[in-house]
Amino acid sequence: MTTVTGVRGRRAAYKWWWGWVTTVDHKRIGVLYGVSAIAFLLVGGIEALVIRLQLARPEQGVVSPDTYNQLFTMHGTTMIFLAIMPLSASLFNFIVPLLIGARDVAFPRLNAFSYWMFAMGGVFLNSSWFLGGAPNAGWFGYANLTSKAYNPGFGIDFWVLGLLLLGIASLAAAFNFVITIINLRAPGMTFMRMPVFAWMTLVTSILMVLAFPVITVALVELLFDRKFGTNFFVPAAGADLVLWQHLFWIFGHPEVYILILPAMGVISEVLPTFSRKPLFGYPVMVISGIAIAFMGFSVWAHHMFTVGLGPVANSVFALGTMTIAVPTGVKVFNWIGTMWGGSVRFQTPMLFAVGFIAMFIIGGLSGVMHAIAPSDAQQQDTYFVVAHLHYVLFGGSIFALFAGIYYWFPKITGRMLSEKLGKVHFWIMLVGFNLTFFPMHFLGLEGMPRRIYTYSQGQGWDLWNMVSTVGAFTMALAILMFLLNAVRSWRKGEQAPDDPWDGRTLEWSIPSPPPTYNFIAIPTVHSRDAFWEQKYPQGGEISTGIRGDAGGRHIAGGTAHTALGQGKEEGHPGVHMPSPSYWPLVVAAGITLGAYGLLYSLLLAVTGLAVTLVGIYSWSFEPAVKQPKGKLGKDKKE
Amino acid sequence: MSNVSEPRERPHPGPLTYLKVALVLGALTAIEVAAFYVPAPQGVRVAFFLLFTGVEFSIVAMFYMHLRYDRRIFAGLFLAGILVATAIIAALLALYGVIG
Amino acid sequence: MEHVAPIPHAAETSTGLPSRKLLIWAFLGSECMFFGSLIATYLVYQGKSLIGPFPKDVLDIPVTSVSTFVLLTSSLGMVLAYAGITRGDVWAFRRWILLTALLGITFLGFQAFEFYHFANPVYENGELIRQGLTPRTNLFGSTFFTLTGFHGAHVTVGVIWLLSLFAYSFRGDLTREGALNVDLAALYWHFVDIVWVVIFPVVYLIGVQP
Repeated sequence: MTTVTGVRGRRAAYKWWWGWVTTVDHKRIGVLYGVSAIAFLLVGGIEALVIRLQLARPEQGVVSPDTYNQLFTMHGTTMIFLAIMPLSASLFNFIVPLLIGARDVAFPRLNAFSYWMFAMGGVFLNSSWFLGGAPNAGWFGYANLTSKAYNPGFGIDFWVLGLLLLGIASLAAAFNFVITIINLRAPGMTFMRMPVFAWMTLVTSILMVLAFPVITVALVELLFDRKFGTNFFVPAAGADLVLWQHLFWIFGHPEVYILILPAMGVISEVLPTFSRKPLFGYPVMVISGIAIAFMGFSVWAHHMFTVGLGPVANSVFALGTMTIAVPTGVKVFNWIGTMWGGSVRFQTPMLFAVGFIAMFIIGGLSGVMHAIAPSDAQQQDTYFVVAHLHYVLFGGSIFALFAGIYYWFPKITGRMLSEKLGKVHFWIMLVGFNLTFFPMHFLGLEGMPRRIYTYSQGQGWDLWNMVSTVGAFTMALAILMFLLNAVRSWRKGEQAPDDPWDGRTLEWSIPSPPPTYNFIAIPTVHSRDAFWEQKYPQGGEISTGIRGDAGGRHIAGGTAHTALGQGKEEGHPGVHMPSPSYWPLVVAAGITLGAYGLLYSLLLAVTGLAVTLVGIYSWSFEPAVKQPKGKLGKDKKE
Repeated sequence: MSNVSEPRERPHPGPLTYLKVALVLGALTAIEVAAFYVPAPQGVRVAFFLLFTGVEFSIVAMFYMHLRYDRRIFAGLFLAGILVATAIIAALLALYGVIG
Repeated sequence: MEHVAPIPHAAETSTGLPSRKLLIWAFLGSECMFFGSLIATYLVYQGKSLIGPFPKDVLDIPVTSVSTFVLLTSSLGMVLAYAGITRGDVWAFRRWILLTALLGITFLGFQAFEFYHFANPVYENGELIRQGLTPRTNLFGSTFFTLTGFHGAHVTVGVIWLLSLFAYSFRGDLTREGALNVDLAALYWHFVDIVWVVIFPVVYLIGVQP
């Protein structure tokens, strides 16, 4: 764990936790995101286990129907917005600045704000459990089940406001990463020399920036219907309930690419390292990622094939959906091509990466089956879709994110995770995952609908439901293995070298964990896989270490250090890192207070607004880098 | 933190140019409002007003927001939003039978 | 929201451009999607209200044309304010930014007047000519007030931003180097104007037959 130095050399004179509360360091924010995401993963996982308990046998009453509806709504919402997205954000935060050779992101306080807004949004949403009931209309909240008439009480309001808060957090983070990647790359790192994970972060962030406003409008319209009696989704006034579906899925489909593209980026980093070969077809991988994102805006109504849009609309969207399978398939072949002929080592990150490819292919195949509109008419709203979505989101995103966690844990914490426990985690998870979700294909084809709280005896669904439940608890065991591994290793795992995997990219050229300022000297980059080229240049000569950058930087002391051995924090350069600040947290708190105020009390809402405004003004007038007070070193003027 | 780095391809115009732009915009708006009172088939009216909207939009973006004078990446970021938004609006209108 | 800038060298960023300016343009691109979705909702529901008042019953083209001119003029003011600060002429900046803000407030005044006027039923000689139009009345009311209301909210934020810059200029810190701060506010302000340049024809001119 990095010590908090913040301002040059001066040890923090405050309590350890204040350093975390006021941090603007992308590495700490990454850790905050990661730990929070895992916590919410557990919450969503427990919700899933209760669902599976209820469905293990026919006609059970483990939970009431209404509670069941809240469970599947919160499970979906939590996993998407509070687990997968923040896990991706955790890796964006920690790794991307290192990959591109930067000292931090473009807007460190905005970064901190996005974390606090996410954390408070997640708490706000989940507080609904204790404040009258969680939302119960599915993670997609179709109108007009979500109307005040059909859903009095605050559950849906918590959902609407919670998603608005989380949307603010996501937008803040996305803007930050777009600008960071465009503007803070190391000298010589052109876009086509950037690691693919950085590319996928850029593409994902652009998707977020374009897609989130659409759901914002949908949520605002629903909020206005519920709070102010407007008519957006009131059939009696002539409104069209399908408009909600359109607006939701115009966001919702890009959202699933937001969930998978970072995962694909992780795989594109892990596979080359553990195959000791460059990524096969780098330009094609980049273009495919961009194509998937761009086309992702044109297929939303494949979630609405059974709504009755008509054969022309259905055909257009079906064709578009099938077409997206092309760049996706290209990526899969390129990953395989990366491994082919390589010197492959199956350590845990690689196991998860290969597992990802296999599971994602299965999920992709069921996806293409959905793309065929007539066959989707049978599959829609059945467990076949549940199977598909979990294969791509769990077998895909989560597996890949675990690959990323195992891969980058040494860099983040300075400790190695246990290989043995890692392998146990992987195999138990692979078995458990397939036990849980593969049978759902059969259940779906046999007609079991989604979102039913129980089913009758004699449908013939008993066996597979039981198998699925056993699988779910097996997955829980696997997660426990991971938690055990993570907690034990973080405290007293084996010390990690700078470059435990013989990596290819810049993050492996600095100590584990990195110092506050990341790089002693910002490297100058001459090719892709910049670090690999430096370690094993074409000509075979030993390189002389990282070249310092030219012109104008205050680099005082600090030897260029090699891939081996740990860097130390003395002899740090004279760079100014951005100063810690509590205003991001204050603004996030003000907005959250305002949200509670909209539910309960005008006075509270106004207070929230006031806190937000004070926070914003204070933030604007606070310098990003405070001049050091006291005697340490000369006063460096900007 | 300075902004002295070159965000521009070419120097920004002076106040006189801006005044001329303002007069052009005013004239266009006046024509639009006058045209409102001219009877015409709805299709023609829609095409006319959309055209004028596009022209005024571009003039403000290119001159007042100096996209014409700045590096192209700014226009790229803005254009991404405009294009996707326009496409989505068009698709929704088609789906609802308002156009096509 | 400064980027990490230990060294103020222009060459420090990959593009040579200030990060905050890239940020505002990305933000405006995103806002296109926000207003685009509101406009899409308006257009999808246009003509579908089951009961009145309908657009032709309430929309006043002459009055709204005036407010449109007011907003367009405010953009000229903004541009002159920015030109002033880049010359280092803080007094010119203050004049023009104050005028811009005042024109913005005038526009908001017109909006407020319009909303109030729409919301009240209209009587003539004791006879009801038309009902009031509120967001709750029908689809037109919901979509119209939401779309123009959010635009008005954006104008309000802009006015606050401009007045803050005006006040800030008296602290003596707003110099030529602070021109970027004004540029960012100006881009936002012009964008808000552009959105109205779209809303006015779409809602008022196209939506109503003369």
